[in-house]
Amino acid sequence: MLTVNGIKKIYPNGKGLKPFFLKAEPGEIVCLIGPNGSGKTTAFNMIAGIAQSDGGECLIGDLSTSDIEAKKEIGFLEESPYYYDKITVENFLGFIWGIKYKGEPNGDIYRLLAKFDLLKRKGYKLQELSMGLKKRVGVISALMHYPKLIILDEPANGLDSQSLILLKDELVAAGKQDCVILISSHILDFLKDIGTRFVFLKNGVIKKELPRSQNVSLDETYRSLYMSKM
Amino acid sequence: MRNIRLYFSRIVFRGIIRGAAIALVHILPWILLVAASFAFAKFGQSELTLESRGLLGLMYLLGTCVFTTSKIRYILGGQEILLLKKIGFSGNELFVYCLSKVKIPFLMATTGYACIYGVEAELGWPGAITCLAMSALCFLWAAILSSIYITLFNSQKSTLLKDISIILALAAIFTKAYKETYVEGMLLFQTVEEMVRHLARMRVMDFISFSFFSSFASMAMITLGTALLFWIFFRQRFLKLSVYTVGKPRRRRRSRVRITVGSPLKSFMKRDLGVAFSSKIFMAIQVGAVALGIWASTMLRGSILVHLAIYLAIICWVLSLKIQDVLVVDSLFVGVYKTLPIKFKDFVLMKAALAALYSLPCPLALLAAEFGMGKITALSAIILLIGLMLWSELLFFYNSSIIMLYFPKVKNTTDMPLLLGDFMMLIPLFPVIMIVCGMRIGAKKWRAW
Repeated sequence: MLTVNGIKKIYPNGKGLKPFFLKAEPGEIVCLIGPNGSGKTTAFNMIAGIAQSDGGECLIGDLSTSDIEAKKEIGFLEESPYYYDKITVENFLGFIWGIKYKGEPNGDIYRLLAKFDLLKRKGYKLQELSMGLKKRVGVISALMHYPKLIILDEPANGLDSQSLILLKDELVAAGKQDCVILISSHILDFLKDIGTRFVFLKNGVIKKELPRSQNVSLDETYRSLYMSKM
Repeated sequence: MRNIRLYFSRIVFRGIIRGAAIALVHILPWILLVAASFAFAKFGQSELTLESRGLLGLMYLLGTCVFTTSKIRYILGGQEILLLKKIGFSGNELFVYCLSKVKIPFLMATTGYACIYGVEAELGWPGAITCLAMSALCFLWAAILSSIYITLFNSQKSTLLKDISIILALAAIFTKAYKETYVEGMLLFQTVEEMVRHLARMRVMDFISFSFFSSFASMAMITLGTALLFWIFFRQRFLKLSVYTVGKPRRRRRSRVRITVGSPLKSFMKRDLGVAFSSKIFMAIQVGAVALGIWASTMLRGSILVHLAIYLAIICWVLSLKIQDVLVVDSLFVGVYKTLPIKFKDFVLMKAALAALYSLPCPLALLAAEFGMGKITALSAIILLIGLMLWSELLFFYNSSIIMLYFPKVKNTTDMPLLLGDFMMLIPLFPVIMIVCGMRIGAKKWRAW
């Protein structure tokens, strides 16, 4: 279970994230929605334990996400990941696997490589891949082994339709494996298909939370929250 | 546009200044080696011949050509040149920019080559200056080619640079032969004939075949030895060097996942060795260092101290060239490291093990060759072996403690500190203080990037 208890971060320009609270049960797919600069990435970085919070805490089970041991339980995809690109896809994923889980990579990596149509390109260096293919590698690195907490910051950016459909399937499968998934995207239809809860952020504050239901209209909610003055 | 131009002019200027520093860092160990060789030739019983010393210079030149061409290819393949072209930089400006970028091989070529020939002429300056000019000319060849390359901007043409480096080496051999055989009043045909005769007398081929055979044999031995060690280490687990405890599956669903007992060290080794062996420069350094070492070992007769000096110089050379590269890869992995469970002490230990693998093959091959030829006794070999390992690790910790002060901004900011570090190393106790302070600061900064 993920417990976010009042994490906050205020940048020198006054923007950032106001005290942020969130609880998510295993299997939940929580979607963070908001315009640029609303604090989604800041929240994700602090929840993943890669940025320091000015206060509060974030726990996965009993373990703080900033604890080094918790890293094994977190799969994180940055919005614009920068990878050392003179390494092959297989070596890159194998490296992450080796550090996180020790030992040889098991079939999970190859299953995901096959699913995202990268198996034939496993010997390619990252510099030889297009932006979309690199993104797929990032998605695989976050999803492999189904960690307890999966955080995907704008995973849909750069992915083609086929990859988006596959990503949806994989996230639903991860949910069934009791993973807590936090995801953000500007493509509301994509989120609507997979999300179990929708959290709307504005200027670092949660403005609204909606559970998944047949009648939920993300477009309407977005319009009323962010575009009412237009 | 003017601001952009100013910005790039500053980069060029800083590049040249920094290049000088880098070159000094890189050639210092080399000068040590040459100085030891010179001192021995002057005061000891040297069997160095003019031809073999000349060949040493040519080998160095070849190495420089490999550096230059790889570096140019790397620069031209990058997005930077494309950007500069798009914002309207002319061919000449790009050419100057590229020159500042290939500063390391350029300065290595000019200063290092001069040092070698300084020894050849027993520190007679005219010889050194001639060769300085010659190596500068060789570099110019590569630079001119790079400008053609920029104009063509076709990566398929990269093989052209390789071919040219071979032509340069041949040109250097003929220039040398010409310099030594030219007599005023001789006809061109006679000159060429005399040059060929001179080349035949040089017995260069004998030396080349010997040094290449020795280096390949040594490399094969090292590869086999390393493979055996890896097999023992990872498969049989006789040695328990794992820095992590054995992880256990925490949840039931994970029990179907087979988690083997292993160490992140293996991941680091696989990644870094993969990166290293895909680098032609790394291979050139290793093969070049072994060949040079064996050459020195066959040519010199001396006390154990002279041999030790050669080994240490080779370690310094290889390490100082590669230490930054080892940590540059890590600095580029910072984004990934943030999400991985890596502790500082484990990271440093893994890197220390890697540094040993990077720096020890050449001196160990040299040691094996010397022992095989009966030049040193078994006891001396064991003492040298232990000394080399200690020295290699000490040097790694010293250099990495300097780099750790700046991590993850490695390549751009650590040239000058490393240069200063080379001088400061001579101050008693300074290295120990540096290691303690550097590692402490590095540990504090770890993950706070």
